[in-house]
Amino acid sequence: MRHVCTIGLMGLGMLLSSAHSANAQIATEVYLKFAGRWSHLDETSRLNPGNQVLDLGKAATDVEARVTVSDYLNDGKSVRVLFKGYSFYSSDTDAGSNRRNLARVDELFADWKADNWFLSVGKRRINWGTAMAFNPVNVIVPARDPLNPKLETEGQPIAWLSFNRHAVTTDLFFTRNYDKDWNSDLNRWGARVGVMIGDWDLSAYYFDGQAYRPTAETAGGARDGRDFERMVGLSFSGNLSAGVTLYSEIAGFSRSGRNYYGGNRMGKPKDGTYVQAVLGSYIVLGPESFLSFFNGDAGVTLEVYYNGEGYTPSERENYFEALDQALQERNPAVLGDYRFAGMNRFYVLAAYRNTFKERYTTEVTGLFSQDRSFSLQLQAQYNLSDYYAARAKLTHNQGSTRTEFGNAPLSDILEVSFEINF
Amino acid sequence: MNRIIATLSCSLLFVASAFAQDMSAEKILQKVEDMLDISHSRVETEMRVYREQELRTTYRMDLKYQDTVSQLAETLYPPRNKGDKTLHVGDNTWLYLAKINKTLRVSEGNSFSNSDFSNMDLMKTNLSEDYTPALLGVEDYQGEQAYKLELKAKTEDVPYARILYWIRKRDLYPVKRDYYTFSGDLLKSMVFHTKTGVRNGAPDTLVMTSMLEKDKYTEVRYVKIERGQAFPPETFNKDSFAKR
Repeated sequence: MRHVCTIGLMGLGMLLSSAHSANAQIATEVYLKFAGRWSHLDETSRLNPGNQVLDLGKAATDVEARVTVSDYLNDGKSVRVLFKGYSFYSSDTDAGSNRRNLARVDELFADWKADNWFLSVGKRRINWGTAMAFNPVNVIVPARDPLNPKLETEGQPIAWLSFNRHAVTTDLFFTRNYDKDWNSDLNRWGARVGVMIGDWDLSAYYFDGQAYRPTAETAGGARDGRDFERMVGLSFSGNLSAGVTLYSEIAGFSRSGRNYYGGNRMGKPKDGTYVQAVLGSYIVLGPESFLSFFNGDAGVTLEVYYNGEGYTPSERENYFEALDQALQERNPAVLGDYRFAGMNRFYVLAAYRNTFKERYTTEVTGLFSQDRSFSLQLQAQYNLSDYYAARAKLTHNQGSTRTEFGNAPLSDILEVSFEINF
Repeated sequence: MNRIIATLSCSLLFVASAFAQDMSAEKILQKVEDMLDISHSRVETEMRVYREQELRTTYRMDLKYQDTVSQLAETLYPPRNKGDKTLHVGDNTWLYLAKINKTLRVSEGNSFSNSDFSNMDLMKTNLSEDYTPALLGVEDYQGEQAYKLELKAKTEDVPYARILYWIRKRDLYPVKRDYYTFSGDLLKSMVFHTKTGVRNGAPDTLVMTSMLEKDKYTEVRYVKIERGQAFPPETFNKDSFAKR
């Protein structure tokens, strides 16, 4: 039913845009992506031994669609409405032979602004923080994928009130949780104060409210993996010199709902606080740099991430042993404690990007974890025109069977896609 | 009436030229910057990137110029970058990725949308803030007398160590700039043209040619200028990106 509603809303958005074309203020954007994916299954993965648990396919074709319609309701532009719908259709099926299809409303909100005040109500994506890949303070919407930080994720039901004066911005947020059936029972709220001091951006964050409780569906953690009660965070960014940007985020959380595993292979939550922090830099390599191939515009991103919620080496080893035992007993609940970029305490991300001859972009991203496993991603994009682009992306996971990326169910994934924007 | 205006204009040009004979480099640069100043203006620009005489990419942008300190550029075209914004305030530059609602601090040296222009070339209109000018002499430039200024970076926090700047003596219109790296190499060269009356005779088309790649250049054209705009202060606040 929810899929039908979303598709209906997307259709309504397109109809509105075509019916409204005489009005110059309405804006419509459409994105379509046709992709083919080929994977190499790692049947020795302890998360999916023999592909018995996840029943993954080796190849799939996907279609993604996004429609965005926005409009101002008055000439003064003080009120705006925006709708963004997302649909994903795949030939792939899950362990229950269900297609991995998805249709959702990513954003649907109305906002109002006047002088120093701003108010927004609806479902909206709020991105806190200054870092490119890892964002410890970004707690309102689902966490971003550090390997693909530009992927668009789903928004969150929210009321946002903002006041700005003398380069100081104060944001207040109220949000509620929800599940796939739109059931909601927890109130959460947060605040952010942003200020410029000299040439540095500084922000302080606070997020509080009723903690997510694990359910049968979210065993081992919340829907988005952040089942904390309270977060206090800080972020900064500034330019060290021409072409070098430095940024950092640090967040302290009151309690983790995650299970930690001891020698008895039993998982239980830990008491006490934990910290997540990232320190990163973005370095522009000019066209004259030897690292800028074909005289393109190149850049390097480096981030060091500390995840205090991650496992120690012994906890990780105990986890995998507990997982082996649980899967033998046909109990996949322990899988809920496996978290991407969460099985270790330390990570390093290095990304190199080069755009050359206007239409070509190459990107190499490596995510290295403390357990000496890594995930490497190679991307190449060719813009056929201002509207069409072709992209190829290869992801390779490597490590031993005692490591995070060494146990990735798919050791290699090749995706070839054709994208249309208009 | 028209004759009076024409006579007055000619007189002003004559007086300006006469004064220019004895002007210092600082004064020449200041006068050029005053003349090019588009503070409190909303400017629609089109950027075209060419390679081997073939148009490769087109960008259209809506630029809001508050003053020499604060400027905001929003991409209108192509669709894949639509809504992305670049904000320049003082020595700080931020990029807003509209599709993921994410703000990132970037450097002035970043290429503007993968063109031959850097953020600084487009957003920063006053060079005198970061460079110290010296008058090298008067040269013939395409049959006209032009001042040749050398601008040296005050610090290393700017993308170019040195800029050679030719300014037409007759009307103090800029005609060319050569940009040099800190290693002393000529990186790119910009030529100014007046092709329409959108800036009342002042240059409205900038052509930046890369020295690193043969037959590559980027043209930026002023399509429309709306002067006398009063932008709300929050327009130039990075925390206001997501609020429109």
